Amino acid sequence: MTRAARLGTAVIGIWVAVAVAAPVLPLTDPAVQPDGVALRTLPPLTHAWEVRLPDGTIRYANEVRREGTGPIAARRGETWSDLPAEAQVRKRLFVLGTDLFGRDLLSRLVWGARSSLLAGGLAAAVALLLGTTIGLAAGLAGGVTDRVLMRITDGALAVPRLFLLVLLAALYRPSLPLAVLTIGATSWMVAARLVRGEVLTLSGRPFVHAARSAGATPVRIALLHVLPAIGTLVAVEASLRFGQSVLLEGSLSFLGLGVPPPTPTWGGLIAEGRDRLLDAWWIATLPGIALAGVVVATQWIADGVRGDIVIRPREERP
Amino acid sequence: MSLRGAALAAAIVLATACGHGEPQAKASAAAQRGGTLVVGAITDADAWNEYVSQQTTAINLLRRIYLRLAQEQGDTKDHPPSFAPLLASSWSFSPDGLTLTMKLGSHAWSDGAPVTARDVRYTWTAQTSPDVAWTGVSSKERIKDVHVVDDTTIAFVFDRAYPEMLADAIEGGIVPEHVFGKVPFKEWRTYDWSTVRIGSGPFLLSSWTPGEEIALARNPGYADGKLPYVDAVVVRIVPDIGNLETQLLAKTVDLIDGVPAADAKRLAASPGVTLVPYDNPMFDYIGWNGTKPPFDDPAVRRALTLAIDRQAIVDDLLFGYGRVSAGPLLSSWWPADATLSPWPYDPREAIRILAAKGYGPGHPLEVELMSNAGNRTREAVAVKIQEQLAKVGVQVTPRTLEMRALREASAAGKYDAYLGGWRFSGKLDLKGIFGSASRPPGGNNVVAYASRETDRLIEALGTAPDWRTAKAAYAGVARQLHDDQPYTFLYEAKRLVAVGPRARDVVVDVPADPLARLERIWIAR
Amino acid sequence: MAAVLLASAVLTLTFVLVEAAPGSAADLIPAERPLPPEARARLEAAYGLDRPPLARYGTWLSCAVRGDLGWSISRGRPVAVVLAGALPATLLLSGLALLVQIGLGVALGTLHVVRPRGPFDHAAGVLGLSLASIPTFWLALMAILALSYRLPLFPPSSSRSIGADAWPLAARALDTLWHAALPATVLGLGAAAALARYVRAGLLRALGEEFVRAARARGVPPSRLVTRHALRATLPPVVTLAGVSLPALVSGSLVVEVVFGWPGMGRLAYDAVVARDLPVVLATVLVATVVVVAGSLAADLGLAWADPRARGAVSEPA
Repeated sequence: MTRAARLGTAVIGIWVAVAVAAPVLPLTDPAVQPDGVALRTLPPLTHAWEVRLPDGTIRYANEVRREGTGPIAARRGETWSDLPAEAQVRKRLFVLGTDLFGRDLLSRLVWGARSSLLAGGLAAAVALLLGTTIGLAAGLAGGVTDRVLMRITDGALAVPRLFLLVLLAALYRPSLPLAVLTIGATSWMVAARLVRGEVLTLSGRPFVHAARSAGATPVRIALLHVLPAIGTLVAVEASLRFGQSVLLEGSLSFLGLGVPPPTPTWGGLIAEGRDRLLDAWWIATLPGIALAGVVVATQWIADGVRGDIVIRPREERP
Repeated sequence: MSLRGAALAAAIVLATACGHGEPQAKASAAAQRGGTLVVGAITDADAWNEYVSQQTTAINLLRRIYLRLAQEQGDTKDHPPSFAPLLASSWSFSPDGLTLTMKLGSHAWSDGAPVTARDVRYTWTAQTSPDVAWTGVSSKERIKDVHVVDDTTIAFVFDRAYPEMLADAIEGGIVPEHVFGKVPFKEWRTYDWSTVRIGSGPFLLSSWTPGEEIALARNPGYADGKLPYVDAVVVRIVPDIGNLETQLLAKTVDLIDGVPAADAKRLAASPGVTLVPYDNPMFDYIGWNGTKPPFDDPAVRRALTLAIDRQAIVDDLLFGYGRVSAGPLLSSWWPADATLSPWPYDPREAIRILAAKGYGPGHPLEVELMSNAGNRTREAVAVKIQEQLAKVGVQVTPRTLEMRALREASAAGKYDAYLGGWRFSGKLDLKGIFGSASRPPGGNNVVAYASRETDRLIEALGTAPDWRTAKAAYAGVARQLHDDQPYTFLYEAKRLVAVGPRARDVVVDVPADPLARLERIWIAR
Repeated sequence: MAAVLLASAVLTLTFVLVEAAPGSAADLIPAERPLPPEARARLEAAYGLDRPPLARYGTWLSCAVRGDLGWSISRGRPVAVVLAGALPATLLLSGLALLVQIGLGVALGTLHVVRPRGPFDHAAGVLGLSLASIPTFWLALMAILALSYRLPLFPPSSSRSIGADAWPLAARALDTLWHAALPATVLGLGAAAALARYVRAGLLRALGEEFVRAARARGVPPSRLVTRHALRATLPPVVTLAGVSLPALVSGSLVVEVVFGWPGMGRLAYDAVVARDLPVVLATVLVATVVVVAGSLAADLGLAWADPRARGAVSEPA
């Protein structure tokens, strides 16, 4: 594995680990809006003050002044008010800033990773499962089955994918299963073609002949002999497919047709930031960087495993 | 009464009325003529016929092309609004109060033909035609017949007297029989009305590039020769509000209706930009499922209302542009009972009531709160309610659904609570929303609220002959609904119009019609 | 022909999916108006939506064959007219994006090769990879932020300036090009990256050819080697290969059009889906499929004619 591939694996690994660990990480609840006035659209790396009052309630302030032992003067937005002197004041740093409703962007980004990566991963799994099965069937069965399956694959490649996805997602209730199914059902074609190609090459090999003459059923041949041999190919395609699926899910969420709110998703975050490009650019920019980063990482992994370049001009861009 | 006299009277009424939106400070020096006003809109028009269109962009503009008989004024607070003459110059009721006779002023269509009473009658047949299927037809329910007395006199015959007779009679723009009559009603919904270039108002449709631009030109045949001040109005359609706001700041767009409250501060801080808030005849609420315990218990509903800090929602999520709602009677409207205040924010009392009903720390009340997807404010409201109710031990799970799915779930009774809103044009249909006969399936009383007392009061309301009696009946219904809380009434949000530096005299004082004074806007050069 | 079969299969599938989803034109009525239930029923009856789906499909199909694609409820015009208005805009955008793709792709690929494994190659590789991984909708937003808001170089939306109808033809054409510049570039960038990799491979291969080595032996400087000789050999298959991605550009234009408010078919499809405007949805899917199929057909033919060897290289890994 090349250095880039190792870096790519590290990036994906970190994101997956963070996403899985999200519930136990010390992050604020991504949906909670603690204070829409004081915490509104804070730029990255700004502070706010958390004031815990004696009765247990928590207030937020943009600026806090304490004069001696007197009451604490706190500024919330434009207005100053006095809080009891016994209140505890704590500084909070918002690493990535906050959004329009005062929600911590870092926390939303992490939770968004959860939904986006899960959707992308499951969709890629569905695509790969479908594609590998069809490719194996076509390659091993040969003859009419092969021709029919390949025609279907060619036909499916010709369908304008994003149009179909938008159509389906908008007509039925947008949800995680729907997104996974629709993306998976429209992304299997490349895997099918690749697997079929490899199977045809391998069919000529002695070990397959041997298995056939030993009386093994095609399914057995497929699972025990061919599958391990095409492992590298499938791994490469899996990596690429994962990246593309995450991108597609992002597009759907951006259009409002992906996993529905209040679950945060990267595409959804970018859509929220769309109206605030002028005064709160970070809401749209940072999730985009995260998304691009994940896709680049998958490309590096694929390149590293495969070792050389692949030409895919037929590939549709999400 | 001559048209000028009527206009003067209307102006006086306007000037003395306590309108909704704060009057716009950039009042005229002498208005300059000429120029093109650019209006920004997010949604395109769908059809150029008021009785076929569902989009507010189109309907607001159509009202400037096809005038109505009279114009509702903004003085809706203390009594039913007064009306300024438009196509009709005067009107009177018969002694038995069932016939409304209106006299038309001397108006002409842009092709020269005069506006006659036959046009008015023809319009009524179109409005009530089942082939046209106009969604506003309920306003014509009580009109038995419309007959032509002579060329300039028309009589509306009602089957009953009630306060909103004039408002119902004038609802809907008058269309020319000699042009529209060429298209049979059956074909109205599949006819390209953008090819029809006629009108009686200050503007005419001059071009429509779907998805991009609508252009209106001044109508040279408009009765008031001095108006409109501008030569043309161009509506720029951009599906991105942030984009439109940038164009406003760059002075390529002059006016945007419906900017989000979140952007208000930033826009108002920009030089030359003014914000005009106006009352939207709409209230937002939480509908509690009246067929599912414990939401069928008024005491539980009251407790939930007490536990929600609605003022905080208005402050934090509407950024102050709105007010807490006490009931379905909009506070800017004459039926509203000023003595009725919304339930206060009292979480302690809420906890006490819930505990008495058996809900407490060990046995929390669980609510799934639905809202429609795509409405960011409502999503944020749902989350805020979740936090507030958590403080009294109620566990709320917000869930967003597509509008259609939401409607189905609520019609089928498969929900705990949902966030919704009702918007009104003209009358308030209390019977359709709170009457026991309007329960699902089919009716709008989605929460299945049934109260004999409320039904009785609504019936009494239906027979009130004049507005003072009606007001007393409305107050009774409001109080009943306040006690029963079939909804938790949340807030009445205001809408905002953002005006750029070039446009002057932008006045928004007619309910639900932000472009009502379009012809009076002028461009400073 | 197979293409016609494909188109009708896609169409039927779309119709079935759309029909199976609940909802109708009555959904256009804003939800917050308390309408009597009869109003909704009357509306549906007026549009003929109360007839069974099969009957409606039959009517639609028989009309479509004759060129009558139905009526658009959300646009108040015949569907054919609406499409005719939107298609040229999409073709213009895709065409310009194609030029960007070829131009930038060739430039980037050449950069790769000028100094193999040098800093240029590496930088170009990173750039190419990033471009191919960035989500298009996010890139669109960033482009608007940078080149339209912060530096007012390009207009942020629409396809023409206000009042442009009255301008002379040349001014109008320039105005449209200026408005198309940003969306076309964003659309073409990602595809350019993929093309660059192929150009690189093709150039490296050509540089190994006999006639090029002969030229090198004659002392021709390396840059001229690349531009004069190798490029000329590689260009024809590159151009036809780019043509293969035209369908992908048409499909990918959906998100770009929505973000830029460009009045093309992608935006039309999205608006129609949101408005439940079934006839428009069917028509856009039909047209998009036709464009894709026609484009692929043309590209395949062109490819076969230009370089018989490259025929196999398209769909398999190098």
